[in-house]
Amino acid sequence: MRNLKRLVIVFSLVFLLVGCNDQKIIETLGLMSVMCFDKATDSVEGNMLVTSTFPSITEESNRKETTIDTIAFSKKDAERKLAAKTEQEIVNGQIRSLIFSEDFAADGINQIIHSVERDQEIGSQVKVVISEGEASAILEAIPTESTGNYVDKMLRKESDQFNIPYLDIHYFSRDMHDDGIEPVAPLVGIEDGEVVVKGAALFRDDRYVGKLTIQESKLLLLMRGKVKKSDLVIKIPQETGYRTLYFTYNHSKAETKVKKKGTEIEQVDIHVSMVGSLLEDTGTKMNGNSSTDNNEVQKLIDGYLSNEAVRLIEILKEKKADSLGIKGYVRNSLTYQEWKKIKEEDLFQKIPINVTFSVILQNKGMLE
Amino acid sequence: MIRRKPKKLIKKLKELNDQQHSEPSLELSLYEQVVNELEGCSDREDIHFPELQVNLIYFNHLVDKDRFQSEILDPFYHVTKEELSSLLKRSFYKPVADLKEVIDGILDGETAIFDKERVFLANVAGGEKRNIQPSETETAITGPHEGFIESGETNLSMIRRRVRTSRLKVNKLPVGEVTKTNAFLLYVKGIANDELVTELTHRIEKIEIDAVYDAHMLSQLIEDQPHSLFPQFITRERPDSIAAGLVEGKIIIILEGSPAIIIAPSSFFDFFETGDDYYQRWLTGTATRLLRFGAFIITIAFTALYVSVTTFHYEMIPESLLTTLAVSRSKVPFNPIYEAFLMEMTIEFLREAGARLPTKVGQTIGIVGGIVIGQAAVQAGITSNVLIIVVAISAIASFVVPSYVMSASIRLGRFGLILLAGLLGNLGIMIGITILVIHLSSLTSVGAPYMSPLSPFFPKDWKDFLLRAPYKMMKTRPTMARSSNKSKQRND
Repeated sequence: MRNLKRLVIVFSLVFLLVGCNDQKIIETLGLMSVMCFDKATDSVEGNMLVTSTFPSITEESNRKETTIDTIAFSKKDAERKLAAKTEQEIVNGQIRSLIFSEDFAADGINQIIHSVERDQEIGSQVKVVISEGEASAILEAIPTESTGNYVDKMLRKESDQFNIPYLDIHYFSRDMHDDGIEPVAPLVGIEDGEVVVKGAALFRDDRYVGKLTIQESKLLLLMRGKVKKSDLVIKIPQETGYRTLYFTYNHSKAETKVKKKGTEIEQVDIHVSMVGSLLEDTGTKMNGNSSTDNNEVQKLIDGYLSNEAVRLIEILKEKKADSLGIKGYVRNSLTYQEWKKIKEEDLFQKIPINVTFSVILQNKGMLE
Repeated sequence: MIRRKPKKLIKKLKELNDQQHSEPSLELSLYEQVVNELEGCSDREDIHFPELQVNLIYFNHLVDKDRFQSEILDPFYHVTKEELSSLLKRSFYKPVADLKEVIDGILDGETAIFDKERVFLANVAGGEKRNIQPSETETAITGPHEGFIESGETNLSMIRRRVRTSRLKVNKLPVGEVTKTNAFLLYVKGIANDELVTELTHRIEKIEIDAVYDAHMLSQLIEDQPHSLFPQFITRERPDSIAAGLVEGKIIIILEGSPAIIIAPSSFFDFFETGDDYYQRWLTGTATRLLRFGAFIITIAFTALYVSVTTFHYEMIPESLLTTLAVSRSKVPFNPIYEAFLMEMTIEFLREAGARLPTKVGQTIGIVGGIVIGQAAVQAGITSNVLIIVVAISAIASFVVPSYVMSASIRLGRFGLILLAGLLGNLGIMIGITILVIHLSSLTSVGAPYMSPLSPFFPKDWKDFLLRAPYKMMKTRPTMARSSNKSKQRND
């Protein structure tokens, strides 16, 4: 009997909490799946133009997408203003992409990343995306009725193929705060009225500073660490036209070593080893007998990648974007006092970086 | 719930009973006293043999008529006055001297024989009873099909035939001040724990109630925590399950007039086991068992999860599913919690109506319910499609639990969880489950922990818990039976 009383008491205590709830019944919600940030100039209401899209369900139980925009001072301010423009309760728990225009991101996106990281409703599936040109134009260019989902799937696919950098906002935010590495983000753009994944966007702290093509972005990922499965189309100039190689690698890893003389940093070595297969080669005649010389192709790919790597590092140094995390490796090889002493703005530009590749051709497809 | 009568009243009743037996003056003969006692019982039969000066008193419908004819009437018709005393010396005729004993004997179906001042009881008890049939609440696919019936003796015989050892002991304990129903307490000496036997005997003897009609009623009278939502003794209707219980060192209680037989002590997880688990291959048996535990979780929490997710936690669901949910709920005018209660209630109505109605009308209810729930409710915009699926799955899952009593308890618990989910979302579900776990772990069944072997943790018993291990591995009796003889297989 005493147990029963206790149970009843505990059960009824729950009712005291009832006032503390915040009901969000799904059909009343406007579920934002994407938020676009553009720069708003000459406006007194705010400095950003925020466009968002969310599905609304009509009387006939059909799904229809609504796009609205507003000018605001901050992300939360924008949400409030967007909510005022619709009958639905605007929520951001299903948000998947934050698309920033180049102009907007060049001024820094720290404030918005912070706001997203603080929000308890937003999980780790949010992506930071940079768009060439206006961010809101991306939404208009997408053909389907569920825009957010489209962007999400498109980027996820590219990321799974190691064409563009990671998508998780926590990684972005971590790299943003780390003094040893700068964040990168996927870059999208519009070509002939269609949305295309363009490559990677480079950041210095929270500011957008430059971009890489898909090919460069792949190389960046190769030099940063492990890549599970991806491919490269390699074009080597010949006397007449190009020789094209299609190299798919299913395993690649990068090792970074810091060479020191005393406390002086001499050089940073990055060694990338790749294992894969050659599935296309326009330089050989495709008859089973005349096999391509493995060593020759390996050297070709090797040379090509090394050249490209040098070019990539030049771009990075020019943009002052240490997306490879070189500073981090240097920092980790030193004591904290030493690191504090040599830590300066142009450290990354000063350090010589040497990239070597070792390519192993496992097979040439089904040919042999 | 049956209230126990206040002690005073029961004492009075007892005194009254005793008075009835002892009051009649000494001048009356025992025969006259019995006749007085049975005054007004028009179904009583009274036969006189004037030349023998013998009277018989019995109830015609309580005796086996053929045996009565051949074993009692025939001898008395043919015996002479001189031979009578030698006839009555046979052990078949049990001499008694006490009025109470005579009355009890007659009510048990015995025949009282009055020869001048001497009284004898002759046992030709019989009467109508149901034939042995397969149990309806505990059907078997593999394994023996016979089920218990309402006759205690028949049930005893079915058990004795399966456990053929002299160590199978039976205590007869009458229950009920008015009904004097016989309860039989069975155990295998040397395997069952003696303390448990004493404790259960004591509990049954302590019951002071007018009547006990069914084993489920008896089990509520001897439970450790009668206020709990959950039954603490499992009842079975198949002799093979009972035999298994006896051999495991458990104690069996048969109640006269009830086809259900109590196994004590029982754990919560016993309610999810069936005989089929043991007769099928061990992998199939294990899979079925896991399926049942899965069904338990679904039946208790699935509707609650729907309510909590649609009311509070939209961010938990993948976007594509969310759209489906939102579309299906868009026409519904109610909050998810009202919607869920409405549908759960409808299902309960249907179940209850179906359980009580005769089969032919029951089918009509099934069709009407199917249309109402399946189509009309959705088309009218009262509920959402997804909720119908959720409620239907929970309802089906609730019937996967083999014990009807347990299944009913779980279904009731589900309503509490839905309410909490509607008020506080996932936090509410967590609070509900926490209360449930605390309550279940605090329960005991004749002192044995209800949640064993999960808590307290008895690793040896896990071979017959979530999985039904191969027989070669199951070498020990369950810990909760506290058997003095722990091993049930030779250790090779």
